[in-house]
Amino acid sequence: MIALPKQVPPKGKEPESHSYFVYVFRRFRRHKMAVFGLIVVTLLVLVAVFAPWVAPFDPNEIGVDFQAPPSGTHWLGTDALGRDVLSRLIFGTRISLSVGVVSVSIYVVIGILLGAAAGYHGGWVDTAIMRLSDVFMSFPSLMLILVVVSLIGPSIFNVMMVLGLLGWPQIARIVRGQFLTLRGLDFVQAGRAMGARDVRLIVRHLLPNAFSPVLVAATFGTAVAILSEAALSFLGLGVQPPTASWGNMLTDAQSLSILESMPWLWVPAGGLIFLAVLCINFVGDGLRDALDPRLKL
Amino acid sequence: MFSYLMRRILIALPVLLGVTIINFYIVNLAPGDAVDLMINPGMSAADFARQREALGLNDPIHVRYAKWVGNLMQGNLGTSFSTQKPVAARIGERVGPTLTLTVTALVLAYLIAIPIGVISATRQYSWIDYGSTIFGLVGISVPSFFLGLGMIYIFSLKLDLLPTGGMLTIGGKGGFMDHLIHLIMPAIVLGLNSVGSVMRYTRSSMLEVLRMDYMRTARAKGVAERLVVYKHGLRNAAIPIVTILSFQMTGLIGGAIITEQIFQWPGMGQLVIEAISQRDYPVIMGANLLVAVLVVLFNLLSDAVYAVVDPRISYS
Amino acid sequence: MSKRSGMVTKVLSVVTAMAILAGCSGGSKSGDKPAGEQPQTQNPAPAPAKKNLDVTIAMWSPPNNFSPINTDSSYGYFAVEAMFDTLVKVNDKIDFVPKLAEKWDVSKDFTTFTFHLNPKAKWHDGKPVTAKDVVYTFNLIANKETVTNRGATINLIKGTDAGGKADGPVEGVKALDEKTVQFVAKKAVDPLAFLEKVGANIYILPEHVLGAVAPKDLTTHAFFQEPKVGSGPFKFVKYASGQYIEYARNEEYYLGAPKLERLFIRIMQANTAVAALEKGEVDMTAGAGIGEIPIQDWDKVQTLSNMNALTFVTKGYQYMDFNHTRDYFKDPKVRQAFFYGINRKLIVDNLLKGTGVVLESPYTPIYKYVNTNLKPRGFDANQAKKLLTEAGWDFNRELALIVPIGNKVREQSADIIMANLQQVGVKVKIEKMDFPTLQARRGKGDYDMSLIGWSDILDPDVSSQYRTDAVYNNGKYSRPKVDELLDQGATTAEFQARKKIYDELQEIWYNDPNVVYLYSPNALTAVSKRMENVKMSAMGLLWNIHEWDVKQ
Repeated sequence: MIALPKQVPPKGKEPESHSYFVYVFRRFRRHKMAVFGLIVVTLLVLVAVFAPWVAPFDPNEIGVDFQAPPSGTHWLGTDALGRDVLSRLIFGTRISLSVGVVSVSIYVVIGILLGAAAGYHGGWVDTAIMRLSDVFMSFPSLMLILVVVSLIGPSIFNVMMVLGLLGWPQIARIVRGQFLTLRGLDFVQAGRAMGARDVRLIVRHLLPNAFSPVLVAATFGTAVAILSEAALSFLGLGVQPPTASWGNMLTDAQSLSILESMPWLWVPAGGLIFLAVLCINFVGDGLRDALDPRLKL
Repeated sequence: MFSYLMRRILIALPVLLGVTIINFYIVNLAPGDAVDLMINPGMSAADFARQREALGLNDPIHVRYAKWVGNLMQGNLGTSFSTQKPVAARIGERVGPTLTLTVTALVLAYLIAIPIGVISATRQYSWIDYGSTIFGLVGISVPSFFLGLGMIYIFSLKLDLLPTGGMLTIGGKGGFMDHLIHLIMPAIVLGLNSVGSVMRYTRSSMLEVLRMDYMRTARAKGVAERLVVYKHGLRNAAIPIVTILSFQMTGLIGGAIITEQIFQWPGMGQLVIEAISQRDYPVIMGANLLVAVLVVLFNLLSDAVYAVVDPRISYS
Repeated sequence: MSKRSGMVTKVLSVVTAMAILAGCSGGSKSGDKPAGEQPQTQNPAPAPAKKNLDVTIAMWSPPNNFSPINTDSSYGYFAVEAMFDTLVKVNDKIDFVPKLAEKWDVSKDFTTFTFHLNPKAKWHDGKPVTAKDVVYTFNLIANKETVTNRGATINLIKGTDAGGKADGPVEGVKALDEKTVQFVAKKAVDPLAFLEKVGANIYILPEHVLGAVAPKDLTTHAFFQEPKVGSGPFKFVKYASGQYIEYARNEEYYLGAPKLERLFIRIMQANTAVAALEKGEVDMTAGAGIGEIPIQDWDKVQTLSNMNALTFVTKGYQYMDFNHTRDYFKDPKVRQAFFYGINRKLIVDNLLKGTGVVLESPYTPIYKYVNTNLKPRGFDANQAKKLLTEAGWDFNRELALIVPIGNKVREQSADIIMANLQQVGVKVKIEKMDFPTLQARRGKGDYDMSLIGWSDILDPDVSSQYRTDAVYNNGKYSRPKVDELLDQGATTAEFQARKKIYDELQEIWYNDPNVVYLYSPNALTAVSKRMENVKMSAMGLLWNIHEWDVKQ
C-alpha cells in the first residue's frame, strides 16, 4: 500500500493517515475468525498483565495435596508438587506470551536494520547480508536452538535470546524486498531530487510500506515462538520449573498414564497453547487479508 | 544454467566452512566435555587422565579444529567419543531413517495440501475454503509432541492398531508393511505442520495467479475451466510453492527431532540430542555438517527446479 | 486429479517409494516370529501352544559400546553382562555364586585368593577359558596405555598403584596352571570386598582374540562394537543402533544352556514403556537405574494383569553436596541445619509416592554397614533457623543450587528444597543445566550446592567420593580423621572391626556433614507373568539369565 502524500506538506508537518487505519480495521473486521482471535489474544494479554490479581494461589506454593483432581479450592487441580494448576496456567501465560513477544521484537528490529541496509545500499552490503541470512536459514532452527540452549543452559532469557537471534532472515528479506521494489519508484527518485536525506526517505516512506508484511510475519512469528518454547520445554531445554510456562507444564505430564488418568495436568496447558497459537494465527491471517491491497474484500 | 549452479556451489563452500568453524567453537567452548560425563565408581584418577588424552581433549582448541579439518579433507569424519565408532558409520545408519521420515512427511503434506489449496482458491469463500483455512491454521498451531502422544494413546493403546514406536517390529521379518505401520503416525505428526503452511501458501499464490490477465485470456479463448486452473494456473503458482520446498525440508529436519523422540524413531534427530548431551564433538560436527550440506543441496535443487518451471527465469 | 499433476505425482511416488525402500534396507532381517506373538494353530485340538522362547527387556538408553572394560557404567555393562562372564557373581540373596570360577579359596591371612576356573568354561568360538585370559584381562586394565574405567576396581591387587595401574605385568596376578588363577592383595583385606571387586566386577576378555592388539588401539577395535567372542550365556547377534540389541542362546554354556532362545534388549523411552508392557511387547524392565518405571506410571503398572510389579530397595541414593571451599559452609551447624531444613519425607511420600527411604548416611538399608544408631532428622524449620542463627548465617545471602536435567524426580525435588529452605529463611536460586555442564561447574567449584546421585558396589569403601582429593569429591570435603578411617576401613579384613570403623565414620558425617543425604528411591520394575525364575534385585537382573524359563 503506497502512502502517497496528498499534497506538498507545510514544513514539519505530514498528513496523518487515519483513514488508512480505519480502512484496514474495517477489512479486518470482515474476517470473523480474526476478530475472534483478536478478542482471545487480548484476553490472554490482560490475564498475563494482571496475573497476580487474577490467580487464586501463589503458583510456586508447594501444597500438601499432590496431583489432586479439580475441586472447589483448586479449580484445575494440583500438579506433582501440589501447586495450583490454574494459577500456574495464569502465570504461565505471562511467560509464554513474553517469550513470544520479546523474541519476535528482537528479531524484527534486527531484521529491519539489516534488511534496510541491504535493500537500500545494495552492492556488497546486500550480498554480505544475504549470504549471512543464507547461513542462518541454512539451519533447521530447532536444531540450532537445541545446540545453543544445551550449551549455554536452559533459562527463559537464553530461550528468548536464541529465538530472537535466529528469526531475523525472514524479516530482513521482506524489508529488503520492499526496498528493492520501491527504490526505483518515481516518488523516491523525486524525493531524492528534492534533496531529501536518505534516513528521512527510509523512515518516512520506505519503512511504512514494509510495515504491513513485517507485521504479518511478526504475528505469525509470535505463534511460532510460542510453539518453539513449548517444544524446547518438551526436550527439557525451555523455561525451567519452578517458573511455570505452558510448555513446561505440558512436559511435566508426559507419561501415558497421566494422559489417561489425570487430564487436568495436560489438557489445560496443551489446550491453551493450541488456543493461543491458533488465535494469533487467525489474527495474522486477518491482518494479511486486510493489508493486502490487491485482495478485494 | 550449469555455470550458475557451479557458482552457487562454489559460494556455498566457504559458507559451509564458516558454519563448521562457528559450530566447532560453540560446541567446544561449552562447559563440560565427554569425560566429565563419566561417573563410574570403578574409575581411578589415572583412568580419567587417560580418557582425556585418548580423546585428544588435552590439545588446544585450534589444534583440534585443524585436526578435524585435516581429517575431513581425507574424507574421515573422525571417531565418536562416546561409542568409539567411526562418525561416518554412526551418522550413516541414522540418515536413512530420517530421510524416510521427512520425505514421506513432505510428500504426504504436499499431496494433501496442494489439491486442497487449489480447490479453496478456486472456490473462495465456500465452506471448503473456510474449512481448509481453519484446517491449515490448526495444522500449524498444534504442538507436535502433544499430537504425537495423543495419537499413541488413541491408536496404540486404546485401539491397538499401530505400534507405540520404533521403526520395525523387533525380531520380526521386517518388510514393507511392517515398515509402513511404524511410519504412519510419525509421518502424519511431522507432516501436519507442513500441510498447514503449504496449503495456505498454495491458496494464496493460486489466488494471485487466478486474478492474472492471462487467466482471463485463457478463459476468453474458450479453454476448459479445469485446464485453465490446473495447466495455466497451477504451473505458475507452482513457482512460489517450489521455493518454499527447501524451507519445508529444513523445517521438517528440525521438527523430526521431536517426532523421533516421541516415536523412538532411530534418526539423526535422536543422534544429535544424544551427541549434544554427551558432548560427543565429532558426531555433533559431522551431523551439523551433513545437515548444512543437505540444506545447501535442497536450496540448489529448488533453484534448479524453479528455473525449469519458470521460463521467465534465466540463470546465465 | 487430473493431468496437471500427472508428471509430478509420478515423480513424487517414485521418490517416496525409493525413500521408504532406502530406509528399509537398513533394517529387515532375521527370525521367524516377532516378539510377543503366539503362532496360530489351525486345528482346534488341545495341543499345548508352542512356547515363545524369546524374551525382551526394556532399557531407557542405548549402551555406548560393548567394551567389557570401558563401556558406560550402567547401560553398557548391562548389555555386556548377557554375553561376558566374571569370575563370580552376586545373587539376589547377596551371596557369591560361581561363574567362570567354580570354586575359590581365601588364605587364612586374607591376602591370597585362588580361583579355580570351571573346566567346561568356553568362549563362544569354542576355545576354553583359561587362566591366561584372566591374567591378560587384569594386566590390560593395569596397563597405562589402556583406556578403561576399571582402574579403581582392581587397586586392591598387589603390584598396582592407587589408580590400579602398573608398569609391567601385575605382580599380584598369576596363573598357577591352565585353570587356576591366584591373586595377592596389597594388604589383608575383607574377602567380600575383594570378591566383589575383582571377582564380580571384572569381565574376562579372550586373550586369543585380543592379545595381539596394542592396548592403545583397543578402544576403536571392531571387537568392542560387535563382541562375537564372549563367555556368557548368550551370544551377540546384532545391534540395531539406538533400537535394540539381539542375542542368541549359547548352546555350549558351561553352567547349562539357557532355556530361552533369543534375548532382545530394547531401547525405548520410559514414558512409552508402560504401553509396551501392557501390550506384551516387552517382558520386563531392565532394573535399578537403567530401566525403571517412571513414578507416575507406577500405579498403572501395578494394575496390569499380565505383569508382576516389583519394587525393592537399591544401593543408589540422591544427595545434595556442599561446596566446602565456601567459607560460609565451614560451621557444622550450618550444614546440620540443612538436614532439618529440607523436608525429605515429603519428597519420598509425595514425589516417590512412598517408594523410597530417607537416609542419614551414604548407606541404604541394604548395606550391612548402616549405622542404625543415628537419629533420623525430620523437617523442622525452627530447629534449622535456630542452628543457622547460632552459626551467624547471613539470611540475605542467596545460594546457587545447581541441578542436572534428566531425572524428573530430582528436578522436582529441587523445587521442594527451595521452598523448604525459603520457609527457613534461606534464599536459594535454582540453576538447571545438562550433566556435563554441571560436572564442569562442580569441578571448578563454581556453585554452592548441587544435586547429584550415586550408586556403588556393596563394599562400604566410599573413598572415591569422600576422601580428600578423591576423584569424585568435587565438594572438597576434607578431614584428616575421615581420611584415616577410610584408609583403615579399606584395609581391614574382619567384619566387626570394619563395622566399628564405618560406624564411626557415619557418626562424623552426621555431626559434621559432608553432604545432605536426601533419599534412596526404590527400584520400580515389572516382570511379565509368563516368565519363570527371574530373580531381579538390587544386585541386578541378569545374574541367572541362563536359568530363566517361560510358561508360554
